[in-house]
Order: sequence, then C-alpha cells, then structure tokens
Amino acid sequence: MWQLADKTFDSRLLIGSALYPSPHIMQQAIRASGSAVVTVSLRRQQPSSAGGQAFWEGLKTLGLTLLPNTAGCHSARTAITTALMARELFGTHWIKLEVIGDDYNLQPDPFALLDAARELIAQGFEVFPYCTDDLVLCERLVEAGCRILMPWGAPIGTGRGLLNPYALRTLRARLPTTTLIVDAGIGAPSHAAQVMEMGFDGVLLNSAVALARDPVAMATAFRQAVSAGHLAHRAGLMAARDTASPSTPVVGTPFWHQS
Amino acid sequence: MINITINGEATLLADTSTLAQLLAQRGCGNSVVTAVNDTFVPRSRHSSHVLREGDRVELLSPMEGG
Repeated sequence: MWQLADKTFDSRLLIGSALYPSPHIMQQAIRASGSAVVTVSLRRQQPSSAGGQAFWEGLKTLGLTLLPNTAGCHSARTAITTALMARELFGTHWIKLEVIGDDYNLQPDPFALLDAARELIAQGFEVFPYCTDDLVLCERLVEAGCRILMPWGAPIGTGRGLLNPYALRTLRARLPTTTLIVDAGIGAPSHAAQVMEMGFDGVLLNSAVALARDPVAMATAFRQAVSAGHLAHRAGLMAARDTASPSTPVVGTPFWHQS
Repeated sequence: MINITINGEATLLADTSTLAQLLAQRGCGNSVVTAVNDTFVPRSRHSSHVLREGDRVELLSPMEGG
C-alpha cells in the first residue's frame, strides 16, 4: 500500500485510457494492469458520434480513480480553464497538469507550468505536474505546493525509456519526501522496472500498453515489472563494481597451483 | 438572432438564449461542461448566463487521455 495525495493504493502503476484498439480492449488492459488510477481527458463534444460516450460508459464501469489531464494546452490560462472544467466534469480535484511548450517533442513549458500550478493549488487542486527532469523547476514546483511531480523519462509516445537517468536519480536524491512518478517515454517493462529500482514512487504510461500487439498481455507485464522494480528497491540493490569478483568460493579450488 | 460559435463552428441562436437553453437544444446531459470566451462557466450559472453576439462557446465531454 502507498499513499498518493489523499488516497491509498496497492498498485504503483498509473495508466492512460487512450490509443487502445477498442473500448473493450481498453477495459481489459486496464484491469490486467492492476492500476487503480487512470488518466482521462476532455475534448469538444461530438453529438454525431457515440464513440466518446461508449468510452466513458465503459471506463466508469471499472470504478477507478480518475486523473484528468490538460493535454493540448499551450498556455497557463487554457490549462487553468481546462482544469476547472475537468473538476466539474469528472468530480475530482486531481489534475494532471500539462502545458506544452514545444510541439516537436511535446516538451512542457516550465514557466507556464509553474504559473498554472500556483493558481490551481490556490484554487484547491491537487496538481500532478507533467514536467521535465530539471531539478530547479522541480524544486520550484514543490515550493509552489506540489506534493507530487511527474517528470518525463522521454518525450510522450517515444517509448525510448529513461534518456537521462542521472537527472532522475538526482531528483530522487534531492526531493526525498516528494511523491515522484515518471510519466511519459516508457516503452518496455524493463524501463518501468528501472524507474522503480531507482526509488521512484510510481510509473504512468499509456502508449507502451495500448500500442502493443497484445495490450492485455503487455499490461500484465508492466504490472509485474513495476512490482518487481519496487521490491528490488526495497530489497537494496548491490553496489556495482569495476572489477570481477568470483561468486563461487575460491577455497578448495581443484587443480589450483601456487606459481 | 445572434451569431456565436460552438466548438469552433458558426451558429445562429435566438436572442436572449441562455447557456442552459443551448445545452437543452443540443441534448447535452451532465457529461458536458462549458466555457464561454475562454472562461469556465459552471453548471450553477448555466441558467443565468445569457449568450451574446460573437460569443465563443466550448462544450467539452469526456475523452480518452494519456
């Protein structure tokens, strides 16, 4: 069990609800992931299409905690407005705050992100900022009142894993009491295990499961990887060494002669 | 009649229409939230919010997200 904001969960894997081949597979995959928290978004209503409604009805049956996002926002103002709309629509004060600064790699705008975070915290939100791994930005977000940070592993949807493990380790070391969740860029279960072995509190991913050939099986693989990585962190990894050291006892080695 | 845009599309609407009336015309239930001219308008104000010439209305509903 672990504490995420004002709730307690078993699973440390948070999962997205987008890009699945069908709403049915989405539901199956989310169940298989064991995730208790699922991200959602809000978009312009399409009266002529029942697809969005089918998605929403299906997701509600899972009974999970919702984490709405502000995906697509490019300014603090639009992100704040979207967050206010999400709070009413989904009935939660949790918000995954995304403010994009560059469309090429969907990199967060650190300045607008901080401005929006300050305002939303003042309005009673629990802000989960999607941020870069910049230490100073993360420290400013914590000073602004963020109890949770979600630094990227790599740009959204790239599946490239942890591009800067050093920066992530630094965040973990310098912000020991902040809930840290790596969000974005995870492509393989081994990436998720690496995040957890580093002592992060959780992993948020979407594409790696939704775009797998078999999303349900991949969701299971990620569930196990996150669990294994967290257990390994608690168990304490051995220190890496530069030189070999035999694991088999050398005492009594046969055919050994002192030269 | 007044000219407004709804989710980016130009629309003609009767004078003195409220946001609540617009939502009812479109058959919107509780799974739609609103903003007018980039400002959030909560449900508690839908009935009193009168739409005006040139307003930009956003009607949003739940969608998949990552």
